[in-house]
Amino acid sequence: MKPNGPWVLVVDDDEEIRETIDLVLAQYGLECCSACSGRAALELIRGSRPPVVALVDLRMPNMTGIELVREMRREPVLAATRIVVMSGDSEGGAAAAELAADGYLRKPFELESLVSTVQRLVSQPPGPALSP
Amino acid sequence: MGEEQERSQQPERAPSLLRAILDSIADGVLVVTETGRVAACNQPFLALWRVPAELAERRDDQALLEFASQQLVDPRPFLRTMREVYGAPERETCDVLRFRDGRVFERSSRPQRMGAAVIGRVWSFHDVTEREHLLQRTAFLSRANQRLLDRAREALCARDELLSIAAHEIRGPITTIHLAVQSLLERPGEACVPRLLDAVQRADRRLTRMVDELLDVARIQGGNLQLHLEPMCLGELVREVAARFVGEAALAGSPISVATEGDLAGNWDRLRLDQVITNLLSNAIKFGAGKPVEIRAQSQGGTARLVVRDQGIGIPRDQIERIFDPFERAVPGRNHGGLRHGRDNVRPIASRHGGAIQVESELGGGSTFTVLLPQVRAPQ
Repeated sequence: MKPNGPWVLVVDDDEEIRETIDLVLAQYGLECCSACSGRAALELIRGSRPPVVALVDLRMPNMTGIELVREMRREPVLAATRIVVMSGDSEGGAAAAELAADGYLRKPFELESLVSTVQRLVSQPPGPALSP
Repeated sequence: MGEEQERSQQPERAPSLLRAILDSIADGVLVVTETGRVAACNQPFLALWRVPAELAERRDDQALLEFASQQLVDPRPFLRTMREVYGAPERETCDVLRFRDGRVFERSSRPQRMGAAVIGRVWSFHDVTEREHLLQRTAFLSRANQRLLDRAREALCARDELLSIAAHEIRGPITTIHLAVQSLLERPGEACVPRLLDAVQRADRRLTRMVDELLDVARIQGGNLQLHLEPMCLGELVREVAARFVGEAALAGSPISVATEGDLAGNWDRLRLDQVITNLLSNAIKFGAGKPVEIRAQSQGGTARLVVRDQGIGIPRDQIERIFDPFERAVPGRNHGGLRHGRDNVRPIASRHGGAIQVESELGGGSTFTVLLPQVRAPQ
């Protein structure tokens, strides 16, 4: 389903996480669209207006989150999209820093961290990357 | 005998004394003149070189040299050293001779002097076969030991990686439960409550399955695999499991084609075979590079043959045998999200059924897994 207004992209091969993030962010008035893989995410992005925020899981089959973020960085239309890296690995923070991500959520994260991170990025204009 | 008489006999006794000394030496000794002619040798020399009595008595130096040379694996260095020392009479030599029959001698030589002049050369031969074999055996054992150590180290690394992946995987459903429960506590009246509860329930089931899988790995690797045999049809099970993967396969762009042929009845453990088919299909989709996956079951001469084929990334040749090792994943890097669904359980399950598993794979060309299961017919 294509989003109508400003939206958040959720990319994770974990179906329950995609669905739960979608449901809880909707409660805060944030519209989400999710993709189960890097390829599906790129297809979704190319067929819509750019998302305001993208939540990207690092460990996914075929195309990893790191590869997806690098692809997204190459898309000029996504220049304003803020990227938040999600990871269950201890090295996730380092990867987020290397990718100059705008945020980092270490799984399992709390509802408050998720909501505050996304709300902050939605309300802030794009600027220099924040430390994860 | 008087002292005077003894002294007078000394010149005659000298050769006998020399002979006694020579023969009492355990090493083979050969004394040659400065021109290379044999001056003397001891009994151990004749015994070590297995010189027949007739040849020893003939005193034919050339024949003796030929006889000795023929026993060596490579007589060239043996002869070369001999030639060289005649041009360098002061030189001392030491080398190793390898015999065709496996014996190994250490050969050394030094000049024989009379005053300042060199008047010949003394060669000695020491049989070091046993020591050499011991060294070879030690080196072989040491290499075997190193290989075992490397395998153990690799297994430990693979186990650590599996644990790390498992820890990562477990964080997924925990995240779902965290988010959903916190949201339910904060906003209990929202319309999405049933969907959040459903997500929690699915996450809970996944956690339970992961823990079961990990315990299963431990149980099977510990040799505690118990089978519950029952009459069943492999074809039905294949279709049933394949149907469960339709959604996942479509998402991955790897449609599954199913083919079953012949009478596929057997007396097997249904749950364990379900696990085998699930493992193979799930891996075929995961590593199938978005290309079609094929599953086929057929009966051939009392054996059911289950084939799962993908056209994906394949497995490096040197890792094909190792993918069934405990904890082994055989995919470099950590790009392929998640556990490999316990492929290390597949071989023990097939073996416990009296069957086997074969793998053919080509890097970039896909993999074919064939499980062979004897069809022990179910009682009618």
